Amino acid sequence: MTGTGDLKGLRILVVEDEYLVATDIVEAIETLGGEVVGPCPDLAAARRLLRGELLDGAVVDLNLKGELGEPLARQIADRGVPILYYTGYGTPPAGEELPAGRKAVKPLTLDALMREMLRTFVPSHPSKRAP
Amino acid sequence: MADQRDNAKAGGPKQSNVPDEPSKDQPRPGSEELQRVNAELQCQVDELTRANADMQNLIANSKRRQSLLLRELQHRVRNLLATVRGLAARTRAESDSADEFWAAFDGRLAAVERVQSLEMISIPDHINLMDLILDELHAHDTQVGRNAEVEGPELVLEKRAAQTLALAIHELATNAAKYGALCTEAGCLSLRWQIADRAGLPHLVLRWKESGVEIDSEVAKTGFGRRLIEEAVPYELGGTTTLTFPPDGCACIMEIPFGDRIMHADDLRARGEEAREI
Repeated sequence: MTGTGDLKGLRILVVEDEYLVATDIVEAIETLGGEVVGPCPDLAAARRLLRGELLDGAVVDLNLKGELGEPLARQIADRGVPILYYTGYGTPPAGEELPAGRKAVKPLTLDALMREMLRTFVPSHPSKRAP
Repeated sequence: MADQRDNAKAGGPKQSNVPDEPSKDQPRPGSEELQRVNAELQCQVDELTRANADMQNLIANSKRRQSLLLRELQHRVRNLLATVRGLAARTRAESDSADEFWAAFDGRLAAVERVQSLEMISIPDHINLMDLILDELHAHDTQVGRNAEVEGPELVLEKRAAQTLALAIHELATNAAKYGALCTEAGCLSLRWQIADRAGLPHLVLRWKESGVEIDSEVAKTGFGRRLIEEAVPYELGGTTTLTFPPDGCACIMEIPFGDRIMHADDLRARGEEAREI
C-alpha cells in the first residue's frame, strides 16, 4: 500500500482543524502520490481555496472549531467533487443531512486512511469498492 | 353514589314526589350529581394525562440529552486518540532509535495528560493559562522565583486550544532543559504575557525569553518539536509565532487572537452568567 501512487495527478482538498490529524491526512495523500490542497483549519480558509482551485476530491472533518462542516460539504458536493468525511462522530446528529460521501471514523491507521481515500477518490481501484 | 345506584334500580320516578315528573328526554333525578362527579373525574383524568405527558417529555428530553453527551464524549475520545496517534507518528519519523522515540513521545504524551487533568472547577472545559504554564514548568523541574519569572493577566483557554499551547510550551521547556536556560545555574527564563491590540482585535502576546546562557547554533535545528511551536499554534489558534535563537538564549513570541477559544477570565465568567440568566 505504501507509496503506490494511486492518487497521482489528483488534487485533494484537506479540511481539518487539528494540526496533528491534518498532518496525518497530508502524509496519507502524499504517500499515495496525490497533491494536497490546503490543509485548511477552518471554513473560511476552505471556502477561499474552494473558489480558486480545481479539485478531484476532499477530506472533510465535520466539526471545525465548533462550526459544522455540513454547508461546506454541500458546496463541495455541488461541484461534483467526491468527499471523504473523516470525523470523530460515529453517527451524524439526528435531522442533519449530509451530502453523499464516504464516511470514516477517527482514529484510523495510516494504511486504513489511505484505503478509505482510494475507495472514495478512485472508484475503479481494485481494493473493495465503496458501497 | 350508593343512593344513586339504588335510585336507578328502583326505577327512580317511583320515589319522587315532585309533581312535574321529568319526561324521558329530561335528566333523571340524581343524574345532575352524576354528571358533576363525572365531570370532576374527567378533570382529574385530564390532569393526570397532562402530568403523564409532561413526565414522558422530561424522560424523552433527558434521554436525548444523555445520548448527545455520550456522542460528544465519544467524539472527544476519538479526537484525542487521533491526536496521540499523530504525535506518535511524527515523533517516530524523527527518531533514530526506540529510546530516542520513547523519550520524546513520553514527554509529549505527558504534556497532553497534564492538560486533561487540569480543569477549572468553576468553568467547565476551560483552563487557566497561568495553571497550564506553571504545570508545564514544574514538570521540567523549574520553579518560579528560582530560575523563572512568570507574569500575566488571568486568561482562560478552551481545552483543545490549551492542549495545543501546552505542547508548544512543552517543546520550549524541553529545549531549555536540554540546551538552554533550564540546564544551567546561571540561566533564567522569563515568561510574560499581555493583551495587545493587533488590527483592532485583542491578542494574547506571550513572550518566552531565556537568558544567562550561551547557545550554539546546533540548538536551532529543525524538527517536529519546532513545528509544534511554529506551525501547530498558528494553524489551530491563528496568529503568528516567531522563534529565534540569539546567542544569549532562545526567544519565542506567540501572538494569538482572542475568540471563542481564548479570552479573559472575566469575559468567560460574564458569559457563564448570561447563559444562566437565559
